[in-house]
Formats: sequence, structure tokens, C-alpha cells
Amino acid sequence: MANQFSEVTKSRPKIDGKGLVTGRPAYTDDLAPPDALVVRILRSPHAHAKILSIDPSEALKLPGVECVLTYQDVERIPYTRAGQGNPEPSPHDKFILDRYVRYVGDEVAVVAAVDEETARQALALVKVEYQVLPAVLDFETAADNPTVIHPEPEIHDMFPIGFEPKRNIAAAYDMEIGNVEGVLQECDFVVEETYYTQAQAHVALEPHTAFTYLDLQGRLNVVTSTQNPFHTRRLMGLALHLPLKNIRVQKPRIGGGFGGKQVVHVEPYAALVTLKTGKPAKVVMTRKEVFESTFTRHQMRLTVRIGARRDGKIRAIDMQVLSNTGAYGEHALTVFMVGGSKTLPLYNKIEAAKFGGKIVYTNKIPAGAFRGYGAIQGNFALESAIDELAHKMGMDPVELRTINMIKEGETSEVFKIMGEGGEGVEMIVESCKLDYCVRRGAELLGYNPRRLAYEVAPGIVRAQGMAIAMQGSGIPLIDMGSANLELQDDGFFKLHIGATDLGTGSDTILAQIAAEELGVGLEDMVVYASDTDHTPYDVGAYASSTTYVSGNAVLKAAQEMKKALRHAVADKYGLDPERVVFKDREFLTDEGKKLVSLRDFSYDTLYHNGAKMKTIATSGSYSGEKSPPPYLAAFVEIDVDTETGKIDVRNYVAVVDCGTPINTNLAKIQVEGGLLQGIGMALYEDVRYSENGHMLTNSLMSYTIPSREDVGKLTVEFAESYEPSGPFGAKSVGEIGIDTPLAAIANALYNATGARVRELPLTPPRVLDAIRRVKDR
Amino acid sequence: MNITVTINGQKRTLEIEYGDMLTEVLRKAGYVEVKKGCDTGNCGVCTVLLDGTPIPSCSFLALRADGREITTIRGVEKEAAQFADFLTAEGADQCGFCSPGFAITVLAMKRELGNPDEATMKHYLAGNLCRCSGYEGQLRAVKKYLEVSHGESI
Amino acid sequence: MEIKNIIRPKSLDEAYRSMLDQGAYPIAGGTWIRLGSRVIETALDLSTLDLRYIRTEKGKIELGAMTTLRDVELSAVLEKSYGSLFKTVVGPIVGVPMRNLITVGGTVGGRYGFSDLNTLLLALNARVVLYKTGEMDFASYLEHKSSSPLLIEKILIDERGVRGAFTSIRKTKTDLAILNAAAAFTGTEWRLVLGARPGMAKLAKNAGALLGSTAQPSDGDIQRAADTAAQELDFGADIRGDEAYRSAVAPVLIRRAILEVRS
Repeated sequence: MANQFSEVTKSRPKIDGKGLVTGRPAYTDDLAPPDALVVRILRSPHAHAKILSIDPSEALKLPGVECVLTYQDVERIPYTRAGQGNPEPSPHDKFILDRYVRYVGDEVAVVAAVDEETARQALALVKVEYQVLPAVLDFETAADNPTVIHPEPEIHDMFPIGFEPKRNIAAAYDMEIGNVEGVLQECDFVVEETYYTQAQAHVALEPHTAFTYLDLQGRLNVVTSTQNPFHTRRLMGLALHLPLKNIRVQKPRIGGGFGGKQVVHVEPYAALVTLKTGKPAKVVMTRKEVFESTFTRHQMRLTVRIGARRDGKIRAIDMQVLSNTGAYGEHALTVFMVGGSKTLPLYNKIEAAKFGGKIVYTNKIPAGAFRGYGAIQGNFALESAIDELAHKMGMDPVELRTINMIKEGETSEVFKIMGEGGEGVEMIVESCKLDYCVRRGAELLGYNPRRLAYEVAPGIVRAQGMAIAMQGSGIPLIDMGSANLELQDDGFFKLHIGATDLGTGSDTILAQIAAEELGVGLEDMVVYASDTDHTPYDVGAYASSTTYVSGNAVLKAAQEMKKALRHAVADKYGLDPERVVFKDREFLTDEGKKLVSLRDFSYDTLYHNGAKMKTIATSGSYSGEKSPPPYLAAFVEIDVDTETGKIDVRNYVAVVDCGTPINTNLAKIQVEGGLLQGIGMALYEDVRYSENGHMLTNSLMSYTIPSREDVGKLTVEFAESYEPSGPFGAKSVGEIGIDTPLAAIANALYNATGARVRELPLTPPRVLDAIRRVKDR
Repeated sequence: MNITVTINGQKRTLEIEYGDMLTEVLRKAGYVEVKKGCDTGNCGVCTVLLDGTPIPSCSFLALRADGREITTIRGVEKEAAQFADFLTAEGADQCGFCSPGFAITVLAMKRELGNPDEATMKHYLAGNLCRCSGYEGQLRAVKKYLEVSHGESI
Repeated sequence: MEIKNIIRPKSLDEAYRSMLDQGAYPIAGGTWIRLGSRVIETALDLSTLDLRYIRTEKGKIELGAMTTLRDVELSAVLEKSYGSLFKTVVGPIVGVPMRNLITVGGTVGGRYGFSDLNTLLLALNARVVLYKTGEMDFASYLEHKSSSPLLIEKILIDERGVRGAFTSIRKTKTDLAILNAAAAFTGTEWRLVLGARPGMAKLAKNAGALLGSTAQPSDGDIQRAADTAAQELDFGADIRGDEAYRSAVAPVLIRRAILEVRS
């Protein structure tokens, strides 16, 4: 397959890579006007409080302070910050500034000054009197708690999502296929267990940053570190009560996102200052602010019931979930649903399935989008339960999966029932190489079901474990991406895309797709992206949509371009367009006679063709009718120090079916990066609070992400796979890498010690405790 | 107070406060390749060379830079470009936010240790965090780069 | 972080006087002062003093207060006497660039609970040389309360005759330790130390005494000493671990450290 392409699958260096590595100015803070007002945000010290009074007068007296804004200076408009399509499945439950604060770190006031030091001093001079309210900190007692976090009458959902704020419920969902109770009763083996996953912080190395200014026409310009410029424009328009035509949002280079920037974050605060003062303004978050006042992954409690027959066939799965969305409901319902919609279809031959539960508010940092987006939490629960079932049945966990997992050409009823906040889309899985991935993964690790664990040194046990995963490729009929292509003099093409490169390399791979279709090289493409004034619409980088959705849009634009070029050349030479061939940068007749080169024609159409001169430009838009899942089989080898509880990952093998990898290196790095984040969540990362709701893990000293010494080896391979509905057979690869490490490592730990841990992370104290309880039995 | 520092070979006089740390001073003076990623000195994106030695500029009092030499990644253009070719050839550049600090540390390691074994490499570079790449691609790039270039000097 | 005045002393005497007369706040590596938004009236920049050295003198290795952890990591003098022990101890600390700034004096002076180096120095029976105040053993220094300023000049450890080992448990390789331990045999006695309890390093005297003066204690004695050390010292909870975990893992770390010295 790979050899037939000239651009696609090639590991072209990212077009921006060299500039970034050698330190050229590229990120939002690098580009901010040097005279931009420095905006700092005063944040709540209480988990739940009412602002009784707020007095900015002392702060305003400080020389260099330009303005201090409170809830009294902002029109009271509820909105959502969630970067999602309209109508958003997230409740509109947030005000830019409010009279109530709902978590430690919530916005209280905005200060703008001529420099950092003055702004910092001014913050301390704003006098606020709070009435402290009881805080709801335990998500398991949040529903129907006497303390109501969102009593405001103005907040609302955009369509029914089970929004019951008076009960502290942000959203709720329920579905059943068949009769789970009945089927479970008939099963020979049933496992019922409850699993807990923790909140995780994204830790993109670039803190959230934005600057704003008014351009020559008085329009609000926003330059921001964002994953979704178009949603940001729309939601800021709503929240600031500005017509969208008066707002421009641009994304320059950004230092990572992982979902943490799939939101409106600091932009409104800079915008408020610019609108008030007429001056450029910028907000650069400190790392502490990023930890405390952006978003985390949703903490979840997942109860799984799974039943199988003696012959190895899994018959029913029930997953009931409680999810903690924190103080505001961004991404609440959709993350929750992906917990089921991107896990249950792995075992598509079951007779009955049930998925449901609630997403509750608490007075903690809001939870939001984070790579995996519910699938990783669901995967931990389901893939642990599958292993538990296998052990109960006396069966090899790999064999149990192989018998029951989805195969190419099959479908799952879950696809139709569960979508993005509502119903989904029926889908036949036209590409699925899970069987190969499992076989190859086992081979690469040297997986030996008869010798899964053995001692390598006194007290140190080496063990293997595995898990499989799926994700999606965009949200069908909801995610849309577009591309514009334009031929330039000298025979190169401008490619304008709304798609958002987070560092992932989407600018490059989308240009590779265009180049492949046009029969030119990556070097013939000039890419410009993520600017609401100049690039066409795209939902942005999330839901693993860029390669599949934006890629298909680019493919369409390129197909249209070829057609338009042939027609224009045909017109010039008085030929039937069907007789004009475009190949290798040349136009020929279908008999092989050369007409003109692309380069020469580019000059002709812009300078020489008289009345027929024109710009040759095409566009393409795409929204998928399906969301073909990428698949991954993971096999991990760990060492467990049974005396200290320390787990070390020696080798993590991941075999991936992402369809055609458009750029093999970049696809590989997506998987490797995802694996590390998953391993971080499995072993090290934990968002922790004090008993009055202060975040304890608010620095990189207290919240530790994996260093390069923490994992022995990652071994990533791709399966040969081709998705007919994807651009050149591609699906997606952005999230799939993160899903498996939680269960794979927990399963390996069980194999090593007999200790089944259903709570994360698997830190030494938690693991040692579990090992000891096994020994005591 | 004023400090006189040689930055990337150019003598600069900068006005600072006693309590200023070097990262902010450098960024304000236009060296935006020196990044700020955390508050606690853990991430490594702010790494520069001080008289040839890698330090986290966020944790270094700017006043101590008086009379000394600072090198950022833009001060070693030829070598930076060469290393960049290896990093981008693996696709490991990704968001690029850790890259300048990472690259300068790699160059410092090359100067100090030549072409060390994998464990030593990982240990030397452990203070430069990366959240995008999963580290493997960076390791592939560094190994290949040092194979080719360890005989040469900055 | 604001510094209103700065003193850049030319001598230890000038430095000490500024602490005494002006309450000057000494800055060693300076890596931590910006944590927290404090205002320092008068700061004392120790980097202008000639305190960065690792040298031998009269059977002692002298570590100047401004010696960096990277100097310690690379020191041929320390390698000659202690093998890779010091490399093991300072290696996990953040990263090479940071270790080029963090100083021995800053680490010792800060008396940080999480410090790995302090645990080792206590086990090695290091001595702290304080300008004007005098010289004292490490344990005494850690407990020392004084109304007059303490200005560390150097740390002394034996050049010969002491064998030590260090071990720790931490989440990621560059994280702060959940618990650390060091064991040393001086030729006549065993010194067993636990640190990051989360409190400061402490000597388990009774445990050490159980091993007597033999360089080759028995496995049984070693286990008894390890268990005694865990019982003798107290542990607490912090974000990295609770009391139960630390006391459970303490004997394991001590036992492993002793075994490493013995072998």
C-alpha cells in the first residue's frame, strides 16, 4: 500500500519544525505587542462564596493601573466555554464575571496595568468581602446535596441533556439495548466491580495565553493559544454581546493543548480590557493558574457488570458512571458518553448493553476535554473487568478478547444509539485490524500466557499485561472542516484551512494530502491556518477529527482543483475538458501531447490570458457520515517491587490501526506521546485537594509528569489498514495512544502479585497496600 | 541596576531590578526563544548556557549574569539548525515549546560528554520535560545527531 | 519577588556582619527565592565569596558552601573516596541545569525534609563549619536553634574509612522522595538514617547500635536493625505518602542500604 504514494505516508519534517526548534518567535506571548497592558485576574480563595462587596478604588489609585473590572462591569450573559459545535451539548452555566465564585481559582476581578509588577500589586489592593458558603467537594455526595452550586435562573442547556442544576446535576444519560438483567442471569460467569479514575492535568508546556487589540476598523482581534478559533469567536461574541463580524480570532503556534485549550479560556478577560480601554491587552497564565484555574480530566466512578457464557462468549455489559464536572459543565455530557460509545463497541457481539449515569457539579476546578475524552476512563473500567472476567473463567485474557472483539465488516448497535450528546450514526466498520494488532503486539512483547509473571530479583516481579482500545475519527454529522486551495503564479498552491495545528503537524499532513492528490510535492504548498478572517471554517483540533474530517475537506478541494485546472486549460486550448490530463505538474491531451506546464499556466491565468484571466481557486467541505474507529492493542511489561509498591514500565508495545498514516513519523509520535500521558495517569499523576477545596498539586513539584527516565522503552508499530471513507485510507491517531495504559498496567500488576487495584493512580503506597492485603488473605 | 551581559556574542546593557530572574529579563530584551513553562524550575524550557554551562534561567538571579556570557539557541545558529534537522526528521519537534531549551541542553551535553550511552543521555536530559513527544522520538534524534556530529565543536 | 537592597560581600566577615547588623537574607543558589511573593529588604549574594570547591585537607574532604550539586556529581575527589554514592544521591534532583545552580550550602542550610543529600551527610557523620559560630556535627546542626545568624562556610566528611549507601522511593525518577534512607559504616559504628519522613533526616541510634562494630552483620541482625529504625523514628503524611506507607517501607529501605554497604 505504502509504495503507491509519493507524499502520503512519507515522514516529511513539519513545515514549521526548524523555525520552532531554532527559536524563532512563534507563540502568542512572543507576538504580543510590547506595550500591551498586562492583565492579571483576581481569583477566589474560597471553594464556594458570594461576593458581598468588591472595592477596586485602592487598586485604581496605583499609578500605572488602567482599569479594574468586576461583575458589575460586564453584561450578565450565560455562556459555555466548551469548544464544541452549536448548539453546544454543554450547559450555558458560566458568566465571564459573576457575583458567586464556585471553586478556588474562579475569576473575581480583572486588573490591567502597564507592567507585570504593577498588575500584581494592584491585585492585592482590590478589596473583596466574601460570604463563604458550604462547599460540595465529594462528587459521590454532590447529587441532591443541600448546597446548590448553580441556583442562577438565567443558566440553561441548549437542548435536553438531563440538566438539573438544582440537584447539582449538569447532565445525565441512559440507554439500554436488549435486557441486561435477564441476560446476566443466564450467564455462567458475572463480574461486577467499581473502578475509580482520577482528575488529570494536561500540563501543556505553554501556559494559556491570549492578547487582544482593536484593529484599524475597530474590530476586536484575538490572538490566542487555542484549539478552536471558530468556536472561540462564536462564544466570545455571545458572552461579550458582539456581532461575530466584529471579532477575529487567530491561533499562532501553540505549545500543546491535549484538550486543555479546547475551550474559551483567558480571551474574554483580555478582550474586556481592550474593549474598555481601547488598548492592546494580554493575559499570560502562570503555571499555578493553569493548574488551578483552567480544566482537568473528569474524575469518574465506573461500575461495570459483565457476564459471559462458559463457552467464552460475553453476553452482556452494563456500565454505570458517575462523573465529576467540577464547578462548570464544560464537556460534561459528551465526555461521559464517549466513556461508553468508544468502549462498548469493542465487544460488539453482546446481546445486551446498558450505559448510563450522571455528571455532577462540585466546587472544584471545572473538568473539560482531555485526550481520550471519556474513552480512557471507560477503557480502564472495561478492560480491567474483562481481565477479571477472564481470570474468573480460567481463560487467557487475550483469548477472551480475541473471541469477542469486533472484526472488520461488523457493526455495533452502540454506534447508532450513542453519539455526541444525543443519538449517533449507524456504521459498518470497514477497517479493523484488531486481530492483527493483538497477534503482533503479543509477538513484539514476547507475551507468554503461561509465564505472565516471575521473580527477577529478591522481591522484584516482572509481569506482562494487556488491553485493547478504540476511539473515533471526528464526530459524524457534527464536525465539519473546510479547505480553500488557490493556484499562485509560479505553480505553487495556497492552502487555507481552518484546522488547528497544536504542534501535532496538521498543517503539514493536510498539505501532504493536497499535494498527493494534485500530484505535486509538499514543497509546492504554502499553508495558512486557523484565522477566522482568512481561513474557512473548521471545528478545530479535537475528537481526533483533523486527519479524517479536515483531511477529507482538503482532498475534496484538491479534487475540485484538478477539475478546475483541467477545465481552465481546456478552455484556453479549445478542447473538451474530458480530453485534458493533469499529471506530474503538466497538462497533456489524452493522447499524450503536451499542452502547457503547471508553472507556465499559472502565469497565463494570472497575466496572459486576456479576458479569460482568473484566479483558479477551489474549496472543499466535509462532515463525516461515520466516525471510523482507530484501534490499538497494547502489551506491557512491568517490574513490580513488591516491598515498596513501585511499578516501572520496562517496555510498552502498541500496535495501531489508524488506517493509512498520512505521515508515518508524526503518527508514531502521536501514539508515543499518548502512551506517555496514559502511563502518567496510570502511575504518577493525581489532582489533589485539601479538605477545604484548595488544590494541593498546583506546581510541577507537586504534580509530577513522567520524565524521560521513567519508561524503559516504547515500541509502536502500525497495522496495514485502509479506511475507504478516509483520505487515502486514513482514520485518526490523535487520541488512541492514551487509552490503554491504565488497564494494561493494572492487569500486569494483577498478574505480578494477585493484587487487583481499581483506583488510580497506581502509586507505591496504593500498590503496596493492595499487595499486602493479598498476602494477608 | 544595570548589568552588562554578552548575549549570543553581543554585548548588551540591560536595566534590571535586584529581584529579577533571568528568563523575564531575556524575554524582555527580545530573546523570546527562552520560554517560560512553569513556576518552579522543573520543566527546562528556559534553559540557556551561562559561560557554556546549562542553567534554568528562570531560577537564576539576573544580577549574577553581570559580566558573563549567555548563549541561547539563537546564538548557536549553525549547530541548532543541524540538530533541528535531526529532530524534525523524527517528527519529534511537535509543539516546539520545549525544543529550544532541549536543544541547548543537548548541545551542552555534546560538549561535556561527546556521544554518551543511552542511559547517560536520558539522565543528562531528564530535566527537560516534554509532554507531546513521549521522549522516544527525541532520543532517536539525539542518538543520530551525536553519531554524526560528536567530533565537531560548537 | 522583590529585593530592595543587595550586598555582594568580598569576605565571609563582611557577609556575616551584614546578616548580623542588617538582617541580610543569604542567597546561595537562589533557585528557590522566587517561590512565594516575598519582599526581601536586604539580600546577601553569597556567589561573590570564594566558596565553591571540593578539596582534601587533613584527611577530610571539604565541600565549600557554594559548591553546586553538579560539582558534587562530577567530583573525582568524591568518586575516589565514595565511588558512585554521591552521583546516586544528587542524580535524581530535577535535572543537570538545575544541579548547576543548587548548592550544598543552600541544601544543608535549608534543612529541607525532602533533601536526599542531607540524609546522606547525616549518615556519613559530616560536620558543618559555620563562620564565627563554629564547627558542629550534622545531627547537631539540624537541631541547632540560634538567635544569631548561621553562615555555612563548608561541609566536612571523612576522606577515608567510611562506606555508605543510599536508597529512596519516589514516584517519577526526578520527583522528590516519598522516603529516603542512608546507611554508613565508619569502621567502628553503623549510622542508619531515614529522611523525607516527611520531616528532616534523623539518625536511628538504637538501630545502628544493634549492628555493633562489625563490618559484616548477619542477615538477622540487619533485619532487626531495619525494623528498629522504623520503630525508633516517627513518620507523617504529606502529598506524597501517608504515615502507614512510610513506616511500612522504612525497614525495607534501611535493610537494602545496609546490605549494599556490607557487600
